[in-house]
Amino acid sequence: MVELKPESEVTAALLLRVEAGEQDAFSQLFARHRDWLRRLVEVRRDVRLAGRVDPSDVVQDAQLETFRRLSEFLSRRPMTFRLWLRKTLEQRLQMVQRQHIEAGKRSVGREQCVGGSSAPGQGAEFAGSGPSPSQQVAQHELAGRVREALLQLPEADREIVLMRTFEGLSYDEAAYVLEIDAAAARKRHGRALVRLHKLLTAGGLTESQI
Amino acid sequence: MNDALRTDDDRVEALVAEATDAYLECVERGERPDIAEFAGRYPAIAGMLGELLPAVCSLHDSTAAVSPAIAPMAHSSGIDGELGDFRLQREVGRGGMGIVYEAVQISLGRRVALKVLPLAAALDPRQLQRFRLEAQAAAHLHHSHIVPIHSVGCERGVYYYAMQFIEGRTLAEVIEEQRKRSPAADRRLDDCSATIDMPGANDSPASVKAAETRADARASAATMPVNWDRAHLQSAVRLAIQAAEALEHAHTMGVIHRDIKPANLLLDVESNLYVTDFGLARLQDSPGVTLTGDVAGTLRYMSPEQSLAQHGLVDHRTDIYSLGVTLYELLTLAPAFDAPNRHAILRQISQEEPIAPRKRNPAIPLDLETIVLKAMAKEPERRYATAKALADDLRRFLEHRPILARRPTLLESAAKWSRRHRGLVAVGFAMLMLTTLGFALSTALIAREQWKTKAAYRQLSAEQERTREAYDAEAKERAKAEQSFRQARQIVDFLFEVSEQELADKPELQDLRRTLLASALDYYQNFIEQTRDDPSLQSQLSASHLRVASIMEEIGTRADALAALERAKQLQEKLVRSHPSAPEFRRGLRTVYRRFGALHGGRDLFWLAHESVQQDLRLSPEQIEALAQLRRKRDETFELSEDLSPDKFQEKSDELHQQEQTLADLLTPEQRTRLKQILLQQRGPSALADPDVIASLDLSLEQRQQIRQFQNDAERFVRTSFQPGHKLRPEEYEQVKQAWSKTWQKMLGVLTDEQTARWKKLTGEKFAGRLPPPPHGGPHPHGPLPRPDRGRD
Repeated sequence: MVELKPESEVTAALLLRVEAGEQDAFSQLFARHRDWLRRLVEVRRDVRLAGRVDPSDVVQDAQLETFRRLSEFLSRRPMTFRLWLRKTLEQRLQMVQRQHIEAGKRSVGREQCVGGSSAPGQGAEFAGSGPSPSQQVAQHELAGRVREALLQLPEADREIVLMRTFEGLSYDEAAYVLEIDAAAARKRHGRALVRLHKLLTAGGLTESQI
Repeated sequence: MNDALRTDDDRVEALVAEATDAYLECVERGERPDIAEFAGRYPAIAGMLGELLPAVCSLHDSTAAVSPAIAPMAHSSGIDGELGDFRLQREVGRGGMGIVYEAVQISLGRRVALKVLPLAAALDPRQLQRFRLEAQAAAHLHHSHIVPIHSVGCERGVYYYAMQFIEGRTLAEVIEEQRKRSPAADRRLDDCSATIDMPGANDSPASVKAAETRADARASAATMPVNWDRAHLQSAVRLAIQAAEALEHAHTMGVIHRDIKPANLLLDVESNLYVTDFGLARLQDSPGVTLTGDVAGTLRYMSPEQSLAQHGLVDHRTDIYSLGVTLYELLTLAPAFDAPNRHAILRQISQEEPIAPRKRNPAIPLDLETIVLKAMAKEPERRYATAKALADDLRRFLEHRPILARRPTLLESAAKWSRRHRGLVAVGFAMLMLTTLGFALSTALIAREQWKTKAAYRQLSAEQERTREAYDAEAKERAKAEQSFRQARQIVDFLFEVSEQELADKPELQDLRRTLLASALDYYQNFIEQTRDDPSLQSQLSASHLRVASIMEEIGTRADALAALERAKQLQEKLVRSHPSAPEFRRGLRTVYRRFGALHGGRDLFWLAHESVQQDLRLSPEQIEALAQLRRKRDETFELSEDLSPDKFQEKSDELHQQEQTLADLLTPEQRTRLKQILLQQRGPSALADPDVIASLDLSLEQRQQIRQFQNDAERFVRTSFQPGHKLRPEEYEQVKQAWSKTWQKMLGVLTDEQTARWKKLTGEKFAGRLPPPPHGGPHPHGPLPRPDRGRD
């Protein structure tokens, strides 16, 4: 198995407390990851369902599920805590999306909200990092184009790029999820970046898609 | 050609990944290198990077404020150039809690060190408020060994902290440098002419920066050999005293540092020490802030109460602990806890004792080791009560006066032991006993906590009163805990006595008895392990060896039993010699000799004195008379002579062998066989676990496992109905008896027909009589065990 990077020390300390039976510690532990998980949903959800799937619901769903299976995780610790959260979240998300697709095949197929529902007015994403409003707009435009290019990438390529840049996973963690070794993950990342670059330049870097 | 192309593509892809990773790393550190310039480092793909990296940043940024993996550190944007009244000149250090710049305070024209905190956006208002309060409190600390804080402020959303610029290096750098220069072979233990100051004095100044000073360090390495002479140790101790005094000052002002570690102790060019970064550690546990940089470097010095995130329990003694760990590292050049990952380090901190400093560096005097270990005790109440107490003890060490710290007593070792093994699933009663021990101790601990809380309110009261209270309380706690310990030992002794006396004459319960003995054996062996070097407990130690020997006779090998007896003998002889007037030690020695006798035919002799056995074996009156004589002779052998020399013992030992031979000659071969049969019957089901029996019956592995399983099941049942300290009621006794007899049937059912026949031959006809308890079931040589405080005189 791939040797994973250890937990962050706060997470590790909280896990110790969870193991000691402190329920409160689990809430804290989950709270630390809540925003990250929400973002994961925003990026990971099927773009066609973007308007229908509420990230908060999925995250809450995942919280219940992780709480239910906590002792199982603690006894085996097959992966880092945050990878485990991520995996659980992914499962819940897929379930929710399947339900939606089954429930309403009618209109979903026609929606093409490529930039993501969060495209306009989601400046909050960048809030706090200090740049001027005009810079924010420029950045936002770029973000939209990047997202579109990403969607055109083969899935394997998109995954590795998202994991490295958006999710902040290490190569080891990404490799664990993709069930390849870290060297292969690194190689795939390089290839994906080159492809991403091609898509970006083909689309015209200066041209706004929004 | 296709291949060549692919190779080219591969190379580009690899390079792009490498460059992107490098850039992402910078971004995660909070830097935002200029893309054009950065791309220039990779000429082959510079154009591509120029277009790709903004996209990568964009992706990254959309998570920067939320990902738990990525630290939202202060971005360089906004703080290059000027910050309020300060002109930044260069970055001199970067740590978990921000970046340190060398800067000039424009209005006063003075040089300062400016620490810039993580982006305020990552902290919630409550935390910022807390930071402001703590920083203000820290700014009020005026002490010659604390880096003075000039001002605390916030400019354009960036929090900062201006301090006096100290020219010098951090202790972490000093340690690191020494570590590099001290391959064991280079340690010059005898070189007294070497520079005696802590290195640093000759080095060029620099604040908390590493790169520049490395070169200086190398340059001066030749003049500053690492040596472990006394002067070197003394200068280390002097530094620790300075740090402890600084902490004492802060603590009396109500400020706890919470993050004492080598990197936060600065040494100036004259080897004066300064504690820096007061009041910052509080920020580290805020959810938005994830440490970057040397995370393990921070973790290693965390106190156990911090590592468990028990914020309520963290008081000023966390600093005493961390200073102890720092001193440990300074003296040994090795981190006290060095597991490769966070999880393991946390475990080490909360559960494992560090390797003794003297094992790593034999040049460390015993007293100094004692002080270090006391400072870094796991439980706050075992540490020095105040930083001043630590400083005082260190000074006593320097001045060759007796230190106040004591080596951990047996009791403390026992507590440590029980803590380390708390998680183990226990088998049998001994573990139950240990739980009792743990419970008794935790009761004592809670009482201590209550005292601590009270004491905390009086923290600022007069020094004298504080010391006295700490003293009284410590004495009281120790008395209480020792009492708990005694209780635990008494319970295990009780367990042993129950096995030996109450259960010994219940043939149906022999297996249970052996289980109890095995559990007690665990305890005694641990006891031996913990007390081996404690002079005040040698008599208990000897008694423990004796009990191990008894148990080994029952469930172990004869060789193990003899070895344990030998150790008990040596200890007991020493005790008799040093306490010639104490009759209990003499009695104890006699018991040891008797045990030797028991192992040399003494047991047979004992059984043969029993009428029912005599009848069964059809001993002649002459034989019975001869046996009686032999027993008398044996008693004479055990008359304790004044002469305790090895020669004398050898003489007696030879006598024993001779008597053993006489006994063997006295019985007919048939009688010897029958005696063996009877003894085997007495052993009941557990005989099937005996190595000799297994060999004679030729039991297969599966059979042995099955037998073991039945035995376990039955034991489990018995354990639930049998509690120490309470006698079985008749109906309970009946139930237990039935359970064993059922188990016995099941176990015999495992045997093949041929094995059953062999078993029958081994055990012979059922022995009709009732046997007495085993010969060593008599009262213990010491009667009730001496209390830990006896024999200390």
